[in-house]
Amino acid sequence: MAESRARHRAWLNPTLTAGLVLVGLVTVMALAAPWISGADPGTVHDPVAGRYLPPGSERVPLVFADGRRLLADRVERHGAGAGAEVVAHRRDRVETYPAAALVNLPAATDAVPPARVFPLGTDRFGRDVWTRVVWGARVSLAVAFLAVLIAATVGTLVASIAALGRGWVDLVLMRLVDALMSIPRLFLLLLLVALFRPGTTTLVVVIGATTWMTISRLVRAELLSLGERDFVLAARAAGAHPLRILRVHMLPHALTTLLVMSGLMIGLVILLESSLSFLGFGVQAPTPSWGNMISTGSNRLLDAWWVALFPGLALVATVVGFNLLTDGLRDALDPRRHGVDRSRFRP
Amino acid sequence: MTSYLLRRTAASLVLLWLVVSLTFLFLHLAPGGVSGGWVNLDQAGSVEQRQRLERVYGLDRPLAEQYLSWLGRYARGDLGTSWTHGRPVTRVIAEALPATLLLALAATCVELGLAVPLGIWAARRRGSPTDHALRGAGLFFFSLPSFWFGLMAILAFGYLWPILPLSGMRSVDAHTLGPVGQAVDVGRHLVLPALVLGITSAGGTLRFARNSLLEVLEQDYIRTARAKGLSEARVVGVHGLRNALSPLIQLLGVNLPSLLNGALIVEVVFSWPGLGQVTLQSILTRDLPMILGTTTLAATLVILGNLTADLAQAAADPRVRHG
Repeated sequence: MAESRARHRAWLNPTLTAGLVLVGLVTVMALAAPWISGADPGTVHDPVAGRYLPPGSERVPLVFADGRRLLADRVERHGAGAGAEVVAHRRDRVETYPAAALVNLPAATDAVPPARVFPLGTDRFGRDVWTRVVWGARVSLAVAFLAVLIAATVGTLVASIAALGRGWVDLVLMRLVDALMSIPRLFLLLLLVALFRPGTTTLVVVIGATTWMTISRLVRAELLSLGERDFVLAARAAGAHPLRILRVHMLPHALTTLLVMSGLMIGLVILLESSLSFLGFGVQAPTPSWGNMISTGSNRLLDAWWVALFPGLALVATVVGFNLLTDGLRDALDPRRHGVDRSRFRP
Repeated sequence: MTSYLLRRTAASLVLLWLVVSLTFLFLHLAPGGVSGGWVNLDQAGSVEQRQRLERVYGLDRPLAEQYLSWLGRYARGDLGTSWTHGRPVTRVIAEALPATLLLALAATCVELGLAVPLGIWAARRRGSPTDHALRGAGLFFFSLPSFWFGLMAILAFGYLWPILPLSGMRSVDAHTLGPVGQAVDVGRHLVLPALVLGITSAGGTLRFARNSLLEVLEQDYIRTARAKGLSEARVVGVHGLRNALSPLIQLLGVNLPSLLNGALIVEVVFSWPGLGQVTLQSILTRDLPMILGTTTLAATLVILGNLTADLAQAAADPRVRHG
């Protein structure tokens, strides 16, 4: 019992805990996006009076039957029944609409729609920044997980071929990895994105195609050292097929390396995705991603700082979370290593 | 030493050859071939344009012949003619490169100036609150997206404390200044981009410096130095640092790709007129020879950087050149 508690303590070091909390928060945000914030991150609340509202602004949303939306500073209701009218004060204008044209206004009562708060303000199309930040978590995490999945699959595959083939096969594959790694990642990504059509699918494939090399190198090293171990030699002596040795005796042992490595890649890949989206070659316009939101905000940085600030905070919290998580995980898996040598990645 | 030098140089040449071959491969893997998707300005002209393009670039010749001439041109230092600039790609790159190198150099100074002293400090106080705080700061800056950090720096210095120029490399009236004034002008423009790039790169380097020094401080010869009564400053400063230097040299080589990546982003944020700007512009204008040229050049810089780092390390450490 005491021993298991000690193990438990060793596992949950403060770094790991902090990482788990941050990653957990972002994951919940991504999964529960429609319930946490508005249902549609593309909703234009008011293309004129709703542009660049500062954080904490309160406006009364008016939703019309034809789908049009407006924001009013203040709303009054005159009359009742079929002839009821709604007087909306929008900035310096006063407009009157028939109450029946509004869908968010119960016709039978005297109620006016309740005001809505925009906690993080709105962007240049009058869209809610908070809603877009929350939905951006979905895009960032989805792209990151899929890209890392591709990278891990390709990386393991190439590593297995190299480790099984040895000799020439190994040499050629590893030189190829070296060559790909000597092209700075962002240049390689931009080259590939330019050759194909930019979009979320291209982004996932291209990021996967430019990050598998690191995984492949490490897994190959692991497989080669496993190949010298007694149980593998015994299996080989017993006449097991090389593929069976790989599948049953070697790959399961390389799994820890693969998982830690993949976790470490997620932080990097989120940074890559947001950098590319910021440059305009990643996630494309209507879909919210933290990178393209920051890019939109950079045009009016000085007078509408909130558009670029908040997605950036979410981005930093997420990447810090994943890096803390993998750091803590490594410490937990190998207590001797106290934060020793992490591979250096920056996009 | 000579055989090591030859071996490393040969390996670098093989890498260069592979990189050039890869760019050729990417080009022909693109959907619709090299000229598909590139020339589609208007339907009527596109067929004729494409044919002209294919003639100019020899795309109607057999693949093997194209490949050999591709390699040959690269070996002669000819990266083709830019479609938008109408000038040789190498010329355009040569004009942009000094700005990038200046930025990279300044950023490396910031990076090392921060990371090495702080890394030593953290290693000396291993396990203390100082060490934890520094490791945490390292992880934070390592995780910081440089484009966002740059924008926030612009926000801070444009809004709260407007003392520095926020974008570009020269003031509009720079030509009226004397040579010293011009240098000061460029220097003032350099401060923010170099700080942003340097600080975001310093996060990882701090941790690396700390860990390298810690590994060295656990060695027997350090225990010996302590046992014979040397002062702690001498043990760490002379015996420790000198041996931790070798991994640091290598780090500078390994660091080069990420430095170029970071420079690309920072150049875009601060409108710094370097290689990154040229690359981005060429992608926006779909200037294929320029894109391939900057990519190949970036890879060449990385390979040469790694080679230099390896040779410097071999010069500094006999175990490397004889091992």
